[in-house]
Order: sequence, then structure tokens, then C-alpha cells
Amino acid sequence: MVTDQVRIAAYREALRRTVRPGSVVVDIGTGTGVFALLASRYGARRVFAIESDDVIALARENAAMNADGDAIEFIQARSDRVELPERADIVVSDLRGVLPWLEYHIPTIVDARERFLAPEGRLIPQRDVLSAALVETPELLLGRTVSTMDGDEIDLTPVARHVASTTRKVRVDPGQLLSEPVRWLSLEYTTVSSSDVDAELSFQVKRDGTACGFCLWFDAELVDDLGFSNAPGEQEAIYGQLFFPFEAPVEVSAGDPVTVGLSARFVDDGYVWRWTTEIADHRGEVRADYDQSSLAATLLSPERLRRRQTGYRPTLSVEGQVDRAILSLMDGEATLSEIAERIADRFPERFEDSKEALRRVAQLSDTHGR
Amino acid sequence: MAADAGGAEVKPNYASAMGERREIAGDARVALSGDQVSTDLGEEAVILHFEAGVYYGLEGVGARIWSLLRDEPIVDEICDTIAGEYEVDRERCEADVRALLGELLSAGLVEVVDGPAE
Repeated sequence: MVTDQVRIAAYREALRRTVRPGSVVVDIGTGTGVFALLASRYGARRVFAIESDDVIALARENAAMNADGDAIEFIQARSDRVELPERADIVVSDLRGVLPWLEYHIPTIVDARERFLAPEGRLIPQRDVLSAALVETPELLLGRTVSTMDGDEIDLTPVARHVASTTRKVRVDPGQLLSEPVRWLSLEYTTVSSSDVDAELSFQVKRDGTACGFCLWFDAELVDDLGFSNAPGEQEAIYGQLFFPFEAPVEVSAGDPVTVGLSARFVDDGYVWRWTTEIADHRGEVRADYDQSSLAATLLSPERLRRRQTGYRPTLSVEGQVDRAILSLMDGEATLSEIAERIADRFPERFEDSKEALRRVAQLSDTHGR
Repeated sequence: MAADAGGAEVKPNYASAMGERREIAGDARVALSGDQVSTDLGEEAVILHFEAGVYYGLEGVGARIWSLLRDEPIVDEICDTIAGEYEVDRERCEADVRALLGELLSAGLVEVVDGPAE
């Protein structure tokens, strides 16, 4: 992401405009530390650069190589587990994927806004404006059968169903659009409180063609009128557009109305999308009426699902027993190699020797030790 | 039905929240609720209550009943189909089907679109 000049240029300008001498800045998900370094260069008195991933080591090295790095305090943790000694004038972040609905992005912003930002402080970005358009992209669809070399057909209906439920990142050419872009909603980071989203889209087909689905993208407003667009045809940033396929392609004519109800719910660390589509012709006759969700694309195992339910009574697997034994030995007295020897003795069917056990012990020490 | 359906089971699992049960009439027309999304996974139906974020699963006869619900049938029609397909006693079948539908109704996964819920 650090090589994405569209994104970096916009964020750099946003920081240049907002950071004042003496400002306190929080950079959430600092990555390699670029935003933190820029904030420091533009005069910030103190920058808290938070990152849970080990990439923070590179950020520290970057800071050490740049004269601007002295004001930066690096914190390796999830931001919602961090306490800061003072409130910030600016909280800057970019935790989005193709869309802002990615993993813990929105809950993280809400938490940072409530706990880190000073009353008159500024969030960068301020908002993301979501837009969509109908697209003709037959290359993204899959037929229900495939022919073999000798002419036999193999039924791939389950695969086709899976593909028809799978949203994916695309870079749509403006020539593939079957409607003008339509604004879906504005995600206001200064007020958003829920990760869930529901809103309707209404398109009007602008030319005859085959509607294969619709694509959705965001235009970022970092501060005031400064931002960047991910619309088809704009200068490419890293994000692209997210394609939502229709259950089956639909022949459409100019003027046909298309209505899509689009919702997302944050479930078990990820988003489940649902899109209901109604396509009519100019007489109002319904040509397609689809109700799709990304649930089918997740390929959930029934057994895994069962283990996550509230009424399930779990017992520990062998791996669980090993981990429990290792954790109980992490008492501040035993060394990793001593723990590994005891574990290898206790679970000979799992570990050939203490060297093999040491790898697991070291992993758990890294994750849970202090 | 769990014991008498030739080894098949009408078995709502995954979520204990589906314990409560509402009664449903034999002449009621039922449909999948707009609050759920579902998919088939092998012999099972995996259902997500979209608003609550809770997963449910149905296997065997339960998954078959779920597939029948896509056509918005009358409860008695489901009973006829299941009794025929699984060669079970019609009266016993009806009690079990209505019991399952009552649980699905309570969980908000199906809705009565025509006729009374008792």
C-alpha cells in the first residue's frame, strides 16, 4: 500500500493541511509508519503510531533513519487495547479493504473516536461516499456446466452457485458500465456507530446489454474537499471496486429500472453481504428477482459452525490439551526448553522430542507470554 | 420423528436459542423469513438469522423441509410430502413437522404468509 501514490499523495496533503506545530496525532494501523513520519515532519509534538502486526519493526527502522522520527511512540497492539496518556488533535487511519467494511475497521474507528480524539479533533478520513453501477462483465461469470475434450458435460452447479455468491475485487472499465454511477450512501466517520448497513440502490439501464451484476466503490473525503475516487476510469488506487454478481446474467434494454437492496452484517469477524435484485422491463414486467448472499461463498463447515454455538458443550482436542498444559507451565519460573521437555514427556504421541515441542511452546510464549 | 423416520432426523442444531416453540396450524401457508439467509452445504441447510447474527443448521428431514419451504407451501402439504418420502406415520409426521415449524417460527426463520398461527 505504501507504493500507492494516489492514496499516499492524498493522505500526505491531508496531514500537511491539518497538523499544526504542537499537534498530537494518533496513526492507527501505522504499517511501515509513513503517516506517522509525515505527521512528525509537519510539526506534530507527539505521534502515537499503533500497529498490531510485526511490520511495526520496519516502521521503527524507518523512524530511526529519518530526522522526523523522534516524536513518534510506536505501540504494538490492537488499538482498542491501548490506553493513551493524552487526547489527540488528529486520528489518521486507513484500515479499509476494497470497501470500508473490512474486518474491525469500523469498530476500530468508533473506539478511537470515543477514546483518543480530543473534542475539537479531526478524523482522517472524514467520510467515504459509496457509489455503484450496473456492469456487463461476462468474464466474471461461470456457466453451470463445463465440456470435456470428448464432448461430455460435467455439471458444476454447486461451483456456479458458489461463484454467484462470491463478491470480488475488480477493476471495471467505464465501457463496461450499463448504468450511470448511483450514490449509495455516505459513511460518516464522525458519527458512525454500527458496522451494519442497509440501503437501497436504484439504477436505470443506459444501453442495451447483459447485466452481470453491479460494482460498488468508495470515494474518500479525507479532510474538507480533499480525497480520491475509486470510480471506474479514475486514476488507479489500490482499492478497486467490489463486484456483486447476479445469480444469472439478465438481458436488459435502455430505460429498464433495476432495484437492489444491499445489506451487510458483521458476523464472526467478517461481513456477510446480502443483495436482493429486481429487474423489470419498460412495461414494468419483472425479468429477474434474485435474493443472494455471500453466505454460500464462505463454504462453512457444518462441524465448525456447530462448535461455535452457544449450546455446544466442547471438550478439548489433543491440541487443546497440549496448549492448556503449556500455558499452565508458563509461570515465570520454567524456561521454554524446560517446558518443552515436560510437554514432550507428557504427550509422546504428539511430539517426537522436546525440540519439536519447543516450536509450539515458543509460539504460545510469543502469543500469550509477557 | 427423530426415532421413526428411517434413521433421518428433523434436527435443528447449532443454536440452543431455538428451544421455544410456537404452534402453527395445518392450513397455514408458510415461507422463509426475510430476516434469514441460507445455503445448502452437502446434506445440511445452513441458516443465518441476518439481524441477530446467529447460525442454525438443519440436517436430514429438517433440511428437506427447509428446501420445501422455498415454495411457500401449506403446512399440510409439507406433511404429505415428508410422510410419503420417508414412509412415516402421517399423524406422527404431522406432529413432528409442526413442532419443527413452530421452532423455526419462534426463531424468526420462517413466517406465516396466509392462514393463522395457532
